[in-house]
Amino acid sequence: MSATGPATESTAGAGARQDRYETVVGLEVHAQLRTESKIFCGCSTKFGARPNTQVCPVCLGLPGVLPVLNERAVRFAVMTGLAVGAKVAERSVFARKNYFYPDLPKGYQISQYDRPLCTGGGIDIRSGGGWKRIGLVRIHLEEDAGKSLHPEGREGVTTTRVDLNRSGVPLIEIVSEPDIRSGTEAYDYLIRLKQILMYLDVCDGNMEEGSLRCDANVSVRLKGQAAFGTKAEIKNMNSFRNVERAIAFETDRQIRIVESGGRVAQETLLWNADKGIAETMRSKEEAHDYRYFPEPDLLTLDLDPAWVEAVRSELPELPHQIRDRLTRDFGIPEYDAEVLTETRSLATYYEEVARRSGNPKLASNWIMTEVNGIRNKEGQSIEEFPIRPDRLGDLIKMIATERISGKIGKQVFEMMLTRPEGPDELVKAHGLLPIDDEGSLRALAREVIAANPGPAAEVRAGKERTFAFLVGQAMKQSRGRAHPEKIQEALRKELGAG
Amino acid sequence: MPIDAKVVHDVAALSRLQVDPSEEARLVKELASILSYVEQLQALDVSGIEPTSQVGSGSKPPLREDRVKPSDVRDEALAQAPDRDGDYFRVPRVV
Repeated sequence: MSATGPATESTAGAGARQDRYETVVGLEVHAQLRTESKIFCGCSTKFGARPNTQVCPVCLGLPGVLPVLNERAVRFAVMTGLAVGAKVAERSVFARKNYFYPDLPKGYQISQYDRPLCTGGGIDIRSGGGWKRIGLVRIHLEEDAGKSLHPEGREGVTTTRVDLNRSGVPLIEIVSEPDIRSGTEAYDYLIRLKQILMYLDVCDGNMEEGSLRCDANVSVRLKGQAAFGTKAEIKNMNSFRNVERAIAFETDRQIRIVESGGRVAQETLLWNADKGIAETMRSKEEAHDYRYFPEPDLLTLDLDPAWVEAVRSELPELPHQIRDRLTRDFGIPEYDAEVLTETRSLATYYEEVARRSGNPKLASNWIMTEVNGIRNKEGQSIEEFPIRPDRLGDLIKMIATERISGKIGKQVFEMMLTRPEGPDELVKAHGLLPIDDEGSLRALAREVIAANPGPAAEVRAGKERTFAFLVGQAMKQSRGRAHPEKIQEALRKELGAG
Repeated sequence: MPIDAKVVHDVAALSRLQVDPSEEARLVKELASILSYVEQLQALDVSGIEPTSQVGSGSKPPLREDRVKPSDVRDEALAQAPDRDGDYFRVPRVV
Protein backbone atom coordinates (compact mmCIF):
# COMPACT_ATOMS: atom_id res chain seq x y z
CA MET A 1 0.00 0.00 0.00
CA SER A 2 1.42 3.30 -1.04
CA ALA A 3 1.41 5.84 1.71
CA THR A 4 1.46 8.79 -0.58
CA GLY A 5 -1.09 8.35 -3.36
CA PRO A 6 -3.55 11.19 -3.75
CA ALA A 7 -6.84 10.62 -2.01
CA THR A 8 -9.73 9.58 -4.16
CA GLU A 9 -13.23 11.00 -3.93
CA SER A 10 -15.05 10.36 -0.68
CA THR A 11 -17.26 7.34 -0.78
CA ALA A 12 -20.42 6.70 1.17
CA GLY A 13 -19.60 5.51 4.66
CA ALA A 14 -16.28 7.28 4.71
CA GLY A 15 -17.79 9.95 6.94
CA ALA A 16 -18.77 7.40 9.58
CA ARG A 17 -15.29 5.91 9.57
CA GLN A 18 -13.73 9.35 9.69
CA ASP A 19 -15.70 10.12 12.84
CA ARG A 20 -13.75 7.49 14.74
CA TYR A 21 -10.55 9.46 14.24
CA GLU A 22 -9.25 12.77 15.33
CA THR A 23 -6.57 14.80 13.66
CA VAL A 24 -3.70 16.18 15.71
CA VAL A 25 -1.99 19.28 14.40
CA GLY A 26 0.91 21.40 15.56
CA LEU A 27 1.88 24.51 13.64
CA GLU A 28 5.24 26.15 13.14
CA VAL A 29 4.92 29.75 12.08
CA HIS A 30 7.80 31.89 10.87
CA ALA A 31 7.14 35.58 11.21
CA GLN A 32 9.44 38.21 9.78
CA LEU A 33 10.10 40.93 12.31
CA ARG A 34 9.52 44.49 11.15
CA THR A 35 12.99 45.80 11.71
CA GLU A 36 14.75 48.23 9.43
CA SER A 37 17.98 46.26 9.35
CA LYS A 38 18.87 42.57 9.41
CA ILE A 39 19.30 40.57 12.61
CA PHE A 40 23.11 40.43 12.61
CA CYS A 41 24.18 43.21 10.24
CA GLY A 42 23.11 46.64 9.05
CA CYS A 43 21.71 45.62 5.65
CA SER A 44 18.19 46.76 4.84
CA THR A 45 15.31 44.32 5.15
CA LYS A 46 13.17 46.12 2.57
CA PHE A 47 11.21 43.79 0.32
CA GLY A 48 11.45 43.89 -3.44
CA ALA A 49 14.89 45.48 -3.90
CA ARG A 50 17.10 44.62 -6.84
CA PRO A 51 18.63 41.17 -6.20
CA ASN A 52 21.76 41.02 -4.08
CA THR A 53 21.87 44.75 -3.36
CA GLN A 54 21.07 44.41 0.35
CA VAL A 55 24.02 42.25 1.24
CA CYS A 56 27.31 42.65 3.08
CA PRO A 57 30.14 40.36 4.16
CA VAL A 58 28.16 39.28 7.26
CA CYS A 59 25.01 38.06 5.52
CA LEU A 60 27.01 36.73 2.57
CA GLY A 61 28.78 34.44 5.00
CA LEU A 62 32.25 35.66 4.11
CA PRO A 63 35.13 34.67 6.39
CA GLY A 64 36.36 36.89 9.17
CA VAL A 65 33.10 38.62 10.07
CA LEU A 66 31.15 38.63 13.32
CA PRO A 67 27.39 38.87 13.81
CA VAL A 68 26.08 41.64 16.11
CA LEU A 69 22.54 41.19 17.36
CA ASN A 70 19.85 43.74 16.49
CA GLU A 71 18.31 45.15 19.68
CA ARG A 72 14.90 45.74 18.11
CA ALA A 73 14.67 42.15 16.90
CA VAL A 74 15.16 41.00 20.49
CA ARG A 75 12.60 43.51 21.72
CA PHE A 76 10.01 42.41 19.14
CA ALA A 77 10.51 38.75 19.98
CA VAL A 78 10.17 39.49 23.70
CA MET A 79 7.02 41.55 23.06
CA THR A 80 5.49 38.63 21.21
CA GLY A 81 6.38 36.24 23.99
CA LEU A 82 4.90 38.49 26.65
CA ALA A 83 1.73 39.06 24.61
CA VAL A 84 1.01 35.33 24.47
CA GLY A 85 1.87 34.74 28.12
CA ALA A 86 5.15 32.95 27.45
CA LYS A 87 8.04 32.84 29.87
CA VAL A 88 10.94 34.97 28.67
CA ALA A 89 14.25 33.32 29.45
CA GLU A 90 16.77 35.37 31.34
CA ARG A 91 19.38 33.52 29.36
CA SER A 92 18.91 32.09 25.91
CA VAL A 93 21.51 30.70 23.55
CA PHE A 94 22.00 31.01 19.83
CA ALA A 95 22.92 27.85 18.00
CA ARG A 96 24.12 26.84 14.59
CA LYS A 97 21.83 24.68 12.54
CA ASN A 98 24.02 23.09 9.92
CA TYR A 99 22.84 22.12 6.48
CA PHE A 100 23.84 22.72 2.90
CA TYR A 101 21.66 24.68 0.56
CA PRO A 102 22.66 27.35 -1.96
CA ASP A 103 20.58 30.07 -0.31
CA LEU A 104 22.37 29.55 3.01
CA PRO A 105 25.78 31.02 2.35
CA LYS A 106 27.40 30.19 5.70
CA GLY A 107 26.40 26.53 5.57
CA TYR A 108 24.52 27.06 8.82
CA GLN A 109 21.61 29.11 10.03
CA ILE A 110 21.94 30.99 13.30
CA SER A 111 18.92 29.93 15.30
CA GLN A 112 18.13 28.91 18.83
CA TYR A 113 17.89 25.31 19.86
CA ASP A 114 17.87 23.94 23.39
CA ARG A 115 17.58 27.32 25.09
CA PRO A 116 15.03 29.41 23.19
CA LEU A 117 14.10 32.97 24.10
CA CYS A 118 10.51 32.15 25.09
CA THR A 119 8.74 29.03 26.28
CA GLY A 120 5.08 28.28 27.03
CA GLY A 121 2.14 30.60 26.70
CA GLY A 122 -0.83 30.09 24.44
CA ILE A 123 -3.37 31.54 22.07
CA ASP A 124 -7.12 31.32 22.64
CA ILE A 125 -9.14 30.28 19.62
CA ARG A 126 -12.82 29.66 18.92
CA SER A 127 -13.84 26.06 19.10
CA GLY A 128 -17.43 24.94 18.97
CA GLY A 129 -19.39 27.57 20.85
CA GLY A 130 -16.61 28.49 23.25
CA TRP A 131 -12.93 29.18 23.58
CA LYS A 132 -10.02 26.80 23.53
CA ARG A 133 -6.40 27.46 24.40
CA ILE A 134 -3.72 26.31 21.97
CA GLY A 135 -0.52 26.00 23.96
CA LEU A 136 2.82 27.19 22.67
CA VAL A 137 6.01 25.20 22.97
CA ARG A 138 8.41 28.02 22.23
CA ILE A 139 9.23 31.19 20.37
CA HIS A 140 12.78 31.62 19.23
CA LEU A 141 14.82 34.08 17.19
CA GLU A 142 16.62 33.14 14.02
CA GLU A 143 17.86 34.49 10.73
CA ASP A 144 16.17 33.90 7.40
CA ALA A 145 17.91 32.26 4.46
CA GLY A 146 18.20 33.79 1.01
CA LYS A 147 15.86 33.03 -1.84
CA SER A 148 16.40 30.37 -4.50
CA LEU A 149 14.69 30.88 -7.81
CA HIS A 150 14.16 27.43 -9.20
CA PRO A 151 13.52 26.88 -12.88
CA GLU A 152 10.25 25.17 -11.97
CA GLY A 153 9.14 22.70 -14.56
CA ARG A 154 11.50 24.14 -17.13
CA GLU A 155 13.08 21.23 -18.93
CA GLY A 156 16.72 21.50 -19.76
CA VAL A 157 17.48 24.33 -17.33
CA THR A 158 20.34 23.15 -15.19
CA THR A 159 20.81 26.09 -12.85
CA THR A 160 19.14 27.80 -9.91
CA ARG A 161 19.47 31.51 -9.24
CA VAL A 162 20.11 32.86 -5.75
CA ASP A 163 19.21 36.23 -4.27
CA LEU A 164 20.66 36.85 -0.81
CA ASN A 165 18.75 40.05 0.05
CA ARG A 166 16.63 38.03 2.49
CA SER A 167 19.63 36.29 4.04
CA GLY A 168 19.83 37.43 7.66
CA VAL A 169 16.39 39.01 7.90
CA PRO A 170 15.13 38.50 11.49
CA LEU A 171 12.48 35.87 12.09
CA ILE A 172 10.71 34.45 15.06
CA GLU A 173 9.56 30.87 14.91
CA ILE A 174 6.43 30.21 16.92
CA VAL A 175 5.84 26.54 17.62
CA SER A 176 2.46 25.40 18.89
CA GLU A 177 1.70 22.37 20.99
CA PRO A 178 -0.15 19.63 19.09
CA ASP A 179 -3.41 21.02 20.49
CA ILE A 180 -5.11 21.78 17.18
CA ARG A 181 -7.77 19.31 16.11
CA SER A 182 -8.91 20.44 12.68
CA GLY A 183 -8.12 22.61 9.71
CA THR A 184 -10.73 25.06 10.96
CA GLU A 185 -9.01 25.37 14.33
CA ALA A 186 -5.69 25.85 12.56
CA TYR A 187 -7.21 28.64 10.50
CA ASP A 188 -8.55 30.40 13.58
CA TYR A 189 -5.23 29.99 15.39
CA LEU A 190 -3.38 31.61 12.48
CA ILE A 191 -5.86 34.48 12.19
CA ARG A 192 -5.48 35.24 15.90
CA LEU A 193 -1.71 34.85 15.92
CA LYS A 194 -1.42 37.21 12.97
CA GLN A 195 -3.78 39.63 14.70
CA ILE A 196 -1.58 39.68 17.80
CA LEU A 197 1.59 40.20 15.73
CA MET A 198 -0.04 43.08 13.90
CA TYR A 199 -1.41 44.71 17.05
CA LEU A 200 2.12 44.56 18.42
CA ASP A 201 3.32 45.95 15.09
CA VAL A 202 6.20 43.49 15.06
CA CYS A 203 5.28 41.84 11.74
CA ASP A 204 3.44 43.15 8.69
CA GLY A 205 1.60 39.85 8.23
CA ASN A 206 2.05 39.84 4.49
CA MET A 207 1.93 36.22 3.34
CA GLU A 208 2.55 36.99 -0.33
CA GLU A 209 5.86 38.61 0.53
CA GLY A 210 6.71 35.75 2.88
CA SER A 211 6.46 37.78 6.10
CA LEU A 212 4.38 34.96 7.56
CA ARG A 213 4.99 31.33 6.69
CA CYS A 214 3.42 28.24 8.17
CA ASP A 215 4.29 24.55 8.27
CA ALA A 216 1.91 21.99 9.73
CA ASN A 217 2.64 18.71 11.48
CA VAL A 218 -0.36 16.45 11.00
CA SER A 219 -1.17 13.02 12.37
CA VAL A 220 -4.33 11.07 13.04
CA ARG A 221 -5.32 8.71 15.81
CA LEU A 222 -8.42 6.90 17.01
CA LYS A 223 -10.42 9.06 19.37
CA GLY A 224 -9.57 8.21 22.95
CA GLN A 225 -6.15 6.92 22.04
CA ALA A 226 -3.39 8.61 24.02
CA ALA A 227 -0.44 7.97 21.72
CA PHE A 228 0.09 10.14 18.69
CA GLY A 229 0.13 8.69 15.20
CA THR A 230 3.06 9.13 12.85
CA LYS A 231 3.14 12.69 11.66
CA ALA A 232 3.72 14.16 8.26
CA GLU A 233 4.95 17.70 7.81
CA ILE A 234 3.23 19.88 5.23
CA LYS A 235 5.03 22.85 3.77
CA ASN A 236 4.45 25.40 1.06
CA MET A 237 1.04 26.64 2.14
CA ASN A 238 0.87 30.25 1.09
CA SER A 239 -2.42 31.26 2.68
CA PHE A 240 -4.33 30.47 5.86
CA ARG A 241 -7.11 28.94 3.73
CA ASN A 242 -4.56 26.66 2.14
CA VAL A 243 -3.39 25.57 5.58
CA GLU A 244 -6.98 24.71 6.42
CA ARG A 245 -7.46 22.81 3.15
CA ALA A 246 -4.12 21.01 3.38
CA ILE A 247 -4.89 19.76 6.89
CA ALA A 248 -8.32 18.50 5.80
CA PHE A 249 -6.73 16.78 2.82
CA GLU A 250 -3.94 15.22 4.85
CA THR A 251 -6.30 14.05 7.59
CA ASP A 252 -8.40 12.28 5.01
CA ARG A 253 -5.37 10.72 3.34
CA GLN A 254 -3.93 9.40 6.60
CA ILE A 255 -7.25 7.93 7.74
CA ARG A 256 -7.52 6.08 4.44
CA ILE A 257 -4.05 4.65 4.87
CA VAL A 258 -4.73 3.51 8.43
CA GLU A 259 -8.17 2.16 7.54
CA SER A 260 -6.73 0.04 4.76
CA GLY A 261 -4.19 -1.45 7.12
CA GLY A 262 -1.27 0.67 5.93
CA ARG A 263 1.16 2.79 7.87
CA VAL A 264 1.62 6.53 7.56
CA ALA A 265 5.18 7.35 6.57
CA GLN A 266 7.02 10.12 8.36
CA GLU A 267 7.72 12.47 5.51
CA THR A 268 7.60 16.03 4.28
CA LEU A 269 4.80 16.97 1.90
CA LEU A 270 4.45 19.99 -0.31
CA TRP A 271 0.98 21.46 -0.65
CA ASN A 272 -0.03 21.93 -4.26
CA ALA A 273 -2.78 24.55 -4.10
CA ASP A 274 -3.68 24.23 -7.78
CA LYS A 275 -4.29 20.51 -7.56
CA GLY A 276 -5.55 20.65 -3.97
CA ILE A 277 -3.24 17.82 -2.90
CA ALA A 278 -0.13 17.36 -0.78
CA GLU A 279 2.77 15.73 -2.61
CA THR A 280 5.82 13.96 -1.24
CA MET A 281 8.85 16.20 -0.98
CA ARG A 282 11.38 14.00 0.69
CA SER A 283 11.32 11.07 2.98
CA LYS A 284 12.27 11.73 6.57
CA GLU A 285 13.64 8.21 6.95
CA GLU A 286 17.15 9.59 6.99
CA ALA A 287 16.03 12.53 9.08
CA HIS A 288 18.04 15.70 8.81
CA ASP A 289 20.85 15.78 11.25
CA TYR A 290 21.43 19.47 11.76
CA ARG A 291 24.30 18.94 14.21
CA TYR A 292 23.23 21.91 16.32
CA PHE A 293 25.84 23.43 18.54
CA PRO A 294 26.09 26.72 20.43
CA GLU A 295 27.01 29.64 18.16
CA PRO A 296 30.56 30.53 19.18
CA ASP A 297 30.35 33.97 17.54
CA LEU A 298 27.58 35.21 19.84
CA LEU A 299 27.44 35.46 23.58
CA THR A 300 24.49 34.05 25.42
CA LEU A 301 21.58 36.46 25.28
CA ASP A 302 21.16 37.60 28.87
CA LEU A 303 18.15 39.79 29.50
CA ASP A 304 17.80 42.01 32.50
CA PRO A 305 14.43 41.19 34.14
CA ALA A 306 13.88 44.91 34.66
CA TRP A 307 14.27 45.47 30.92
CA VAL A 308 11.77 42.69 30.21
CA GLU A 309 9.33 44.27 32.66
CA ALA A 310 9.78 47.62 30.95
CA VAL A 311 8.93 46.01 27.62
CA ARG A 312 5.87 44.44 29.25
CA SER A 313 4.68 47.75 30.60
CA GLU A 314 4.91 49.27 27.13
CA LEU A 315 2.88 46.54 25.41
CA PRO A 316 -0.05 47.97 23.50
CA GLU A 317 -3.58 46.86 24.29
CA LEU A 318 -4.16 43.43 22.75
CA PRO A 319 -7.17 42.20 20.77
CA HIS A 320 -8.73 40.23 23.61
CA GLN A 321 -8.25 43.14 26.01
CA ILE A 322 -9.99 45.57 23.69
CA ARG A 323 -12.71 42.99 23.04
CA ASP A 324 -13.36 42.72 26.76
CA ARG A 325 -13.32 46.47 27.19
CA LEU A 326 -15.78 47.05 24.35
CA THR A 327 -18.27 44.50 25.65
CA ARG A 328 -17.93 45.93 29.16
CA ASP A 329 -17.93 49.66 28.43
CA PHE A 330 -20.26 49.77 25.47
CA GLY A 331 -22.43 46.76 26.23
CA ILE A 332 -22.11 45.36 22.73
CA PRO A 333 -22.22 41.59 22.13
CA GLU A 334 -18.98 39.62 22.10
CA TYR A 335 -19.54 38.82 18.44
CA ASP A 336 -19.61 42.54 17.58
CA ALA A 337 -16.53 43.20 19.66
CA GLU A 338 -14.67 40.50 17.82
CA VAL A 339 -15.54 41.86 14.39
CA LEU A 340 -14.65 45.39 15.48
CA THR A 341 -11.25 44.40 16.88
CA GLU A 342 -10.15 42.76 13.65
CA THR A 343 -7.47 45.42 13.45
CA ARG A 344 -6.32 47.97 15.98
CA SER A 345 -7.34 50.82 13.69
CA LEU A 346 -10.85 49.44 13.17
CA ALA A 347 -11.25 49.23 16.95
CA THR A 348 -10.11 52.84 17.30
CA TYR A 349 -12.48 53.90 14.52
CA TYR A 350 -15.35 52.13 16.24
CA GLU A 351 -14.62 53.68 19.61
CA GLU A 352 -14.71 57.17 18.14
CA VAL A 353 -17.97 56.52 16.29
CA ALA A 354 -19.52 54.92 19.37
CA ARG A 355 -18.66 57.88 21.59
CA ARG A 356 -19.66 60.53 19.12
CA SER A 357 -22.95 58.89 18.17
CA GLY A 358 -23.92 58.19 21.77
CA ASN A 359 -25.31 54.84 20.63
CA PRO A 360 -22.61 52.16 20.68
CA LYS A 361 -24.79 49.30 19.46
CA LEU A 362 -26.14 51.28 16.51
CA ALA A 363 -22.57 52.36 15.74
CA SER A 364 -21.49 48.73 15.79
CA ASN A 365 -24.32 47.69 13.43
CA TRP A 366 -23.47 50.43 10.98
CA ILE A 367 -19.77 49.62 10.91
CA MET A 368 -20.29 45.87 10.65
CA THR A 369 -22.82 46.08 7.83
CA GLU A 370 -22.53 49.37 5.93
CA VAL A 371 -18.90 50.32 6.46
CA ASN A 372 -17.48 46.81 6.22
CA GLY A 373 -19.78 46.10 3.26
CA ILE A 374 -18.23 48.95 1.28
CA ARG A 375 -14.73 48.16 2.48
CA ASN A 376 -14.99 44.51 1.47
CA LYS A 377 -16.34 45.48 -1.93
CA GLU A 378 -13.63 48.08 -2.50
CA GLY A 379 -10.85 46.24 -0.73
CA GLN A 380 -10.26 49.24 1.55
CA SER A 381 -8.59 49.30 4.91
CA ILE A 382 -10.39 51.36 7.53
CA GLU A 383 -7.71 54.03 7.13
CA GLU A 384 -8.66 54.36 3.47
CA PHE A 385 -12.39 54.47 4.11
CA PRO A 386 -13.64 57.92 3.02
CA ILE A 387 -16.04 58.58 5.90
CA ARG A 388 -14.03 59.39 8.99
CA PRO A 389 -15.39 58.55 12.44
CA ASP A 390 -16.51 62.12 13.25
CA ARG A 391 -18.88 62.30 10.29
CA LEU A 392 -20.16 58.75 10.74
CA GLY A 393 -20.69 59.41 14.44
CA ASP A 394 -22.75 62.50 13.62
CA LEU A 395 -24.85 60.57 11.11
CA ILE A 396 -25.57 57.77 13.56
CA LYS A 397 -26.45 60.30 16.20
CA MET A 398 -29.07 61.79 13.85
CA ILE A 399 -30.56 58.33 13.40
CA ALA A 400 -30.30 57.41 17.07
CA THR A 401 -32.10 60.61 18.09
CA GLU A 402 -34.69 60.01 15.34
CA ARG A 403 -33.94 63.21 13.51
CA ILE A 404 -33.82 61.09 10.39
CA SER A 405 -34.87 57.51 9.68
CA GLY A 406 -32.43 54.70 9.11
CA LYS A 407 -33.51 54.64 5.50
CA ILE A 408 -32.67 58.32 4.96
CA GLY A 409 -29.51 57.67 6.92
CA LYS A 410 -28.44 55.19 4.26
CA GLN A 411 -29.03 57.75 1.52
CA VAL A 412 -26.93 60.28 3.40
CA PHE A 413 -24.27 57.62 3.99
CA GLU A 414 -24.07 56.94 0.24
CA MET A 415 -23.60 60.67 -0.41
CA MET A 416 -20.95 60.96 2.26
CA LEU A 417 -18.85 58.31 0.50
CA THR A 418 -18.06 60.74 -2.28
CA ARG A 419 -18.61 64.12 -0.62
CA PRO A 420 -16.82 65.94 2.14
CA GLU A 421 -19.86 67.48 3.89
CA GLY A 422 -21.21 66.37 7.23
CA PRO A 423 -24.57 64.60 7.47
CA ASP A 424 -26.39 67.65 8.80
CA GLU A 425 -25.42 69.79 5.81
CA LEU A 426 -26.32 67.03 3.35
CA VAL A 427 -29.70 66.44 4.95
CA LYS A 428 -30.53 70.14 4.74
CA ALA A 429 -29.09 70.69 1.26
CA HIS A 430 -31.01 67.77 -0.21
CA GLY A 431 -34.30 68.32 1.60
CA LEU A 432 -34.01 65.04 3.39
CA LEU A 433 -35.44 66.12 6.72
CA PRO A 434 -38.35 63.95 7.73
CA ILE A 435 -41.93 64.95 7.03
CA ASP A 436 -43.69 64.59 10.31
CA ASP A 437 -45.97 67.57 10.68
CA GLU A 438 -49.67 66.96 10.36
CA GLY A 439 -50.24 69.43 7.50
CA SER A 440 -47.53 68.11 5.19
CA LEU A 441 -48.45 64.51 5.90
CA ARG A 442 -52.15 65.13 5.15
CA ALA A 443 -51.18 66.86 1.91
CA LEU A 444 -48.99 63.95 0.94
CA ALA A 445 -51.79 61.50 1.77
CA ARG A 446 -54.23 63.43 -0.43
CA GLU A 447 -51.75 63.39 -3.29
CA VAL A 448 -51.26 59.62 -3.03
CA ILE A 449 -55.00 58.96 -2.87
CA ALA A 450 -55.62 61.18 -5.87
CA ALA A 451 -52.93 59.44 -7.85
CA ASN A 452 -54.23 55.97 -6.94
CA PRO A 453 -58.04 56.11 -7.10
CA GLY A 454 -58.44 52.36 -7.68
CA PRO A 455 -56.48 51.17 -4.67
CA ALA A 456 -58.01 53.92 -2.53
CA ALA A 457 -61.46 52.67 -3.44
CA GLU A 458 -60.42 49.11 -2.54
CA VAL A 459 -59.31 50.20 0.91
CA ARG A 460 -62.49 52.09 1.49
CA ALA A 461 -64.36 48.92 0.45
CA GLY A 462 -62.55 47.14 3.28
CA LYS A 463 -59.63 45.52 1.43
CA GLU A 464 -57.12 46.08 4.17
CA ARG A 465 -54.17 44.57 2.32
CA THR A 466 -54.19 47.34 -0.25
CA PHE A 467 -53.57 49.86 2.53
CA ALA A 468 -49.94 48.78 2.71
CA PHE A 469 -49.66 49.61 -0.99
CA LEU A 470 -50.78 53.17 -0.35
CA VAL A 471 -48.33 53.53 2.55
CA GLY A 472 -45.60 52.30 0.24
CA GLN A 473 -46.59 54.84 -2.39
CA ALA A 474 -46.47 57.62 0.19
CA MET A 475 -43.00 56.55 1.31
CA LYS A 476 -41.87 56.39 -2.29
CA GLN A 477 -43.38 59.77 -3.11
CA SER A 478 -41.63 61.32 -0.13
CA ARG A 479 -38.39 59.50 -0.89
CA GLY A 480 -38.60 57.78 2.45
CA ARG A 481 -38.96 60.98 4.42
CA ALA A 482 -42.54 60.49 5.61
CA HIS A 483 -42.77 59.48 9.26
CA PRO A 484 -43.75 55.81 8.95
CA GLU A 485 -46.46 55.76 11.66
CA LYS A 486 -47.79 59.25 11.18
CA ILE A 487 -48.28 58.81 7.42
CA GLN A 488 -50.53 55.84 8.16
CA GLU A 489 -52.65 57.97 10.43
CA ALA A 490 -52.80 60.70 7.80
CA LEU A 491 -53.83 58.23 5.09
CA ARG A 492 -56.56 56.78 7.32
CA LYS A 493 -57.90 60.20 8.02
CA GLU A 494 -57.86 61.28 4.37
CA LEU A 495 -59.41 58.00 3.20
CA GLY A 496 -62.11 58.40 5.79
CA ALA A 497 -62.65 62.00 4.80
CA GLY A 498 -62.80 61.12 1.10
CA MET B 1 30.26 6.30 20.58
CA PRO B 2 31.80 3.57 18.48
CA ILE B 3 33.19 4.86 15.22
CA ASP B 4 32.70 2.55 12.27
CA ALA B 5 32.56 2.87 8.51
CA LYS B 6 28.88 3.87 8.62
CA VAL B 7 29.55 6.80 10.94
CA VAL B 8 32.34 7.98 8.67
CA HIS B 9 30.03 7.73 5.69
CA ASP B 10 27.18 9.59 7.39
CA VAL B 11 29.36 12.41 8.65
CA ALA B 12 30.99 12.72 5.24
CA ALA B 13 27.58 12.86 3.55
CA LEU B 14 26.34 15.57 5.94
CA SER B 15 29.50 17.55 5.31
CA ARG B 16 29.31 17.04 1.55
CA LEU B 17 32.73 15.37 1.61
CA GLN B 18 33.75 12.66 -0.78
CA VAL B 19 35.61 9.92 1.01
CA ASP B 20 37.70 7.56 -1.04
CA PRO B 21 37.04 3.95 0.05
CA SER B 22 40.75 3.46 0.40
CA GLU B 23 40.81 6.15 3.12
CA GLU B 24 37.94 4.69 5.10
CA ALA B 25 39.86 2.38 7.39
CA ARG B 26 42.36 5.09 8.26
CA LEU B 27 39.58 7.63 8.99
CA VAL B 28 37.74 5.19 11.23
CA LYS B 29 40.88 4.66 13.22
CA GLU B 30 41.84 8.33 13.44
CA LEU B 31 38.35 9.54 14.35
CA ALA B 32 38.08 6.89 17.04
CA SER B 33 41.42 7.89 18.45
CA ILE B 34 40.53 11.60 18.51
CA LEU B 35 37.19 10.96 20.16
CA SER B 36 38.64 8.66 22.78
CA TYR B 37 41.10 11.38 23.66
CA VAL B 38 38.28 13.88 24.09
CA GLU B 39 36.30 11.33 26.04
CA GLN B 40 38.72 11.70 28.92
CA LEU B 41 36.64 14.76 29.76
CA GLN B 42 33.76 12.47 30.68
CA ALA B 43 35.64 11.61 33.85
CA LEU B 44 35.01 15.11 35.22
CA ASP B 45 32.05 15.72 37.45
CA VAL B 46 30.27 18.71 35.91
CA SER B 47 26.90 18.26 37.60
CA GLY B 48 25.64 21.62 38.76
CA ILE B 49 27.92 23.54 36.45
CA GLU B 50 26.37 25.77 33.83
CA PRO B 51 27.55 24.63 30.36
CA THR B 52 30.12 27.01 28.94
CA SER B 53 28.49 27.66 25.59
CA GLN B 54 30.63 30.68 24.99
CA VAL B 55 33.57 32.13 26.75
CA GLY B 56 32.51 35.45 28.20
CA SER B 57 28.94 34.47 29.09
CA GLY B 58 27.51 36.63 31.76
CA SER B 59 28.84 39.79 30.26
CA LYS B 60 26.36 41.84 28.29
CA PRO B 61 26.28 40.93 24.64
CA PRO B 62 26.83 43.91 22.40
CA LEU B 63 23.54 44.84 20.76
CA ARG B 64 23.17 46.92 17.63
CA GLU B 65 20.73 49.74 17.27
CA ASP B 66 18.32 48.90 14.45
CA ARG B 67 19.68 51.19 11.82
CA VAL B 68 20.38 50.49 8.15
CA LYS B 69 23.98 50.71 7.14
CA PRO B 70 24.02 50.50 3.36
CA SER B 71 26.55 48.10 1.98
CA ASP B 72 26.52 47.71 -1.73
CA VAL B 73 29.00 44.96 -2.32
CA ARG B 74 26.89 43.31 -4.98
CA ASP B 75 29.28 43.75 -7.89
CA GLU B 76 32.28 42.72 -5.88
CA ALA B 77 30.52 39.68 -4.46
CA LEU B 78 29.08 38.58 -7.78
CA ALA B 79 32.44 39.07 -9.46
CA GLN B 80 34.01 36.65 -7.00
CA ALA B 81 31.28 34.04 -7.28
CA PRO B 82 32.00 30.97 -9.37
CA ASP B 83 29.05 31.81 -11.59
CA ARG B 84 26.43 34.53 -11.97
CA ASP B 85 23.32 35.25 -13.99
CA GLY B 86 22.79 38.98 -14.18
CA ASP B 87 22.07 40.16 -10.64
CA TYR B 88 21.91 36.63 -9.28
CA PHE B 89 24.37 34.06 -8.09
CA ARG B 90 24.04 31.00 -10.27
CA VAL B 91 24.37 27.48 -8.87
CA PRO B 92 23.63 24.00 -10.19
CA ARG B 93 19.89 23.31 -10.22
CA VAL B 94 18.78 22.09 -6.80
CA VAL B 95 15.12 21.20 -7.33
